[in-house]
Amino acid sequence: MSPVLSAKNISKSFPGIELLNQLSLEVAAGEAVAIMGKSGTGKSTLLHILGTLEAPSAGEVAIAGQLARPANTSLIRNRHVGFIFQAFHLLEEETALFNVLMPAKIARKEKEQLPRALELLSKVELASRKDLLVKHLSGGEKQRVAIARALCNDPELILADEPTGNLDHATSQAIHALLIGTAKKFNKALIVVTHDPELAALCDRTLILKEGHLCTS
Amino acid sequence: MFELAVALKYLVPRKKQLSVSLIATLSVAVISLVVWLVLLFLSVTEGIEKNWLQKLTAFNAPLRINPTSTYLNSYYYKIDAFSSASGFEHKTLAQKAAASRADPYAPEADPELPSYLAPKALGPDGSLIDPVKTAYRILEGIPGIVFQDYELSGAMMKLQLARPESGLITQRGSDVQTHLTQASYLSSFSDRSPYLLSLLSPLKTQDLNHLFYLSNASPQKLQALLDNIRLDEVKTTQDHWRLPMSLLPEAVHISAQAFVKNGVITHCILDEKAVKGRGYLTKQKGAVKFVDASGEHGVDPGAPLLTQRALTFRATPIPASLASAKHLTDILLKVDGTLQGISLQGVIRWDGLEISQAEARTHFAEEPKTPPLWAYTVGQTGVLPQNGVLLAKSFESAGVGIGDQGFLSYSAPTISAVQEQRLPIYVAGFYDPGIMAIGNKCILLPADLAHAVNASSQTFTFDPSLSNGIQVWFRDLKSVDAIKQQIVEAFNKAGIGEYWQATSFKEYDFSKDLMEQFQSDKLLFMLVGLIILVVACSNIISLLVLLVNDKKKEIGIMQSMGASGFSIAAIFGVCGIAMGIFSAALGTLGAYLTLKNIDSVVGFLSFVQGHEAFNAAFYGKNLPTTLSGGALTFILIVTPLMALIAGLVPAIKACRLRPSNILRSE
Repeated sequence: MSPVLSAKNISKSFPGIELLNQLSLEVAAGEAVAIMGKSGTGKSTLLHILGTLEAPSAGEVAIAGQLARPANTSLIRNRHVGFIFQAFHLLEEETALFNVLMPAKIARKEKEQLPRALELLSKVELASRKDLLVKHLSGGEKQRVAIARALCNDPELILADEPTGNLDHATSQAIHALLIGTAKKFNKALIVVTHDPELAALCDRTLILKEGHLCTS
Repeated sequence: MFELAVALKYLVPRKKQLSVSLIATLSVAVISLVVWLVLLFLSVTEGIEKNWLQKLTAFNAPLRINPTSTYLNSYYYKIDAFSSASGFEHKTLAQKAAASRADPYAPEADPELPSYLAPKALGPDGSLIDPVKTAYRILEGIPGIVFQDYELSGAMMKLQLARPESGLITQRGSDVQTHLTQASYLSSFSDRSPYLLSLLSPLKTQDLNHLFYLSNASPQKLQALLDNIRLDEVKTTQDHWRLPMSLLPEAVHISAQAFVKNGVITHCILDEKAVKGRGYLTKQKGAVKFVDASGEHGVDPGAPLLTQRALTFRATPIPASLASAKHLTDILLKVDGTLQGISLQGVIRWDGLEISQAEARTHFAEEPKTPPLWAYTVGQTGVLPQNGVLLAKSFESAGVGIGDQGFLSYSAPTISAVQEQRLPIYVAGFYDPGIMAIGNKCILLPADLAHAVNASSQTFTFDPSLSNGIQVWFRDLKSVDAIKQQIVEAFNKAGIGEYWQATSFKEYDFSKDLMEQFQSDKLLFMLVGLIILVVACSNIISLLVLLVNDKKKEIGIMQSMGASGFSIAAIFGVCGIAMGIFSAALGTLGAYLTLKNIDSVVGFLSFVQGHEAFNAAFYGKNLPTTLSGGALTFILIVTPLMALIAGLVPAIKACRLRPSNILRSE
């Protein structure tokens, strides 16, 4: 079975710094991978490269069998990748439902995906708050909206960048369970960048980013 | 559509985006203002141009066909001067068209022809080519056109302006007389022109009063006037009008002052409104008495009862009095009015009264038994009364009135000397000549008078190729080139092309420069409008750049969700177009409302300036009130296009943002 994500020989350098060096990674469907490392080692950069938000200096990324090229990165992100950010990155002036539907709106499938969006909100226990503006939700609720949004277009790959970095311990634990549980339930490939050993422990694999290389813990 | 929804959401003013909202409002206001201004100017100028063109083509026809030098040197034209059947005179086009023979020359009776005379131009059948009849036949076969020959001439016009010294139109004989002399062009009145009568100034009550004054001692003219007007209301010409005692109703009290001399009431002045405590007049069994605190005083039937202010009466002439009326004062009127709230009814003579409301008939289904003294129509045909002429409306402003009489003076050679000839005329109306340079000096008169002057006058000599021609009218001025082409081709095909020169209104010497200037002015203002529009739309660039910076995070989020660079650019492009369309709509609405209320705007401008803002002689009585289609199309295309172009700069900036950098910085 071919991997959902296949990154080969990824390098990323900035003037005077070589952040990532010939790094390769494959993640299969239903597999959860945690990436840990010290601050500044390039975890978020790696995640952005894997999610085609940023181009690598060298190497190639293929998602769901499609090799990322400048011409198709938008389409890959919209159809095959779901992002969850530490800062949530939701549209604060819009409702929870509007945010969850955003990938569907971009794909021009809003009407088709509406039942799924409502189901996802129900799954993250926000069905009753779907019409509230995001700015009125708590941090934990916002992250749950972000999880639902990441799953809206039914992508094969979910990328989470320190998803509980801004949350308290109890909320974090709930989000961990929800994130890992949802990924497993929907058979999604999950890559989580985190400092939290508890979250890493819930994943199938934990990789450490050190001096531009990924090594197993 | 996702992009449209996001763009519209961005454009809705919100409290949190105060600066963006303010700039957006300002941009929309500035663009709307420019749109309003451009639309208003172009609509008004186009309307004025259309108005001028209508007048120009109504007066001169949109197409003229004139004889060329080939025609004037041809055997066909020259032969009349050698033919006794033609009275040894050149014929006009109308006479040629009506002539029974193309070649009137009789070799056995007429003098020998000179050698320089052009040879006969013969047609395929060997007969003399008749360019006039052939042209008329061709023109009659073209649908949708009306044509008629015209003749131009010139003479001195001398008018006698008689005005009542007393101001009373009923008192003829004590006139103040002035004279007006004007060297004038004479143009035959084109009774077949469908539009010429639209140039006529409508008859006013002041014209009717003047006509009554001038007709005072002429029963025929009085009859002609009374047969062709519907009299509704008359008013007293003086404040102290003598009220006939017969009008006083029985047993009512009319507040008045009595003036006594030697114990006898010499006259009474009737108050405008009833005054308490004042004496009053009352009529009992036909006798009028004045009653005050001192008692009752009889008023002699000869003592005048004078009104304090002018009175108006509903009035109907008594038909029996009209037949025998020799003077205006012979006419009896059945009147109905009020004084101090008391009804005054009865029959009085037309004395000290003038018309304040009446309707003159100008349209007739068939020729009226008593023709009116002014220009009128019978069906579709315009009619000038005998010896009646139409003057440019500037004469009206100069004090000439309908009915003023005079003559046309021109010199004509006789066997022994050149003598002054006089043709009596009177003013039968005024027309609006539009912007023609010679318009104010051009008199329209019956075709036979124009020809009489033209045939014998030595006062003015005109180029014969211009003084006689054919005018062609049609409804759609835009088809002028096509109709001209059609006529020229038909003339060429019939072998008479060389005899005629067709000229469209665009080529008339007297209007060509003005028309070209108009086009240049319009083009210039469109260019200026475009430049102002570009400047106004540049505000959109500032606004959208600000919006892009404001929405950076949302752009990053949308990009991470898979929004393409094109989608992001489209959002801001749509913002630009939406602003352009909204501003254009707002400006158009403003221009529409302004045009609908243009009179108030002009009134305000005139008030601010302290003089008339738009001279009626130049711009017409009313400024145009409709939006120009061309200007609207120009605005509705250019404004959104400019706004789109303005939106492209920030749109490109937005789509080049790197989502990774935005999301990380947030």
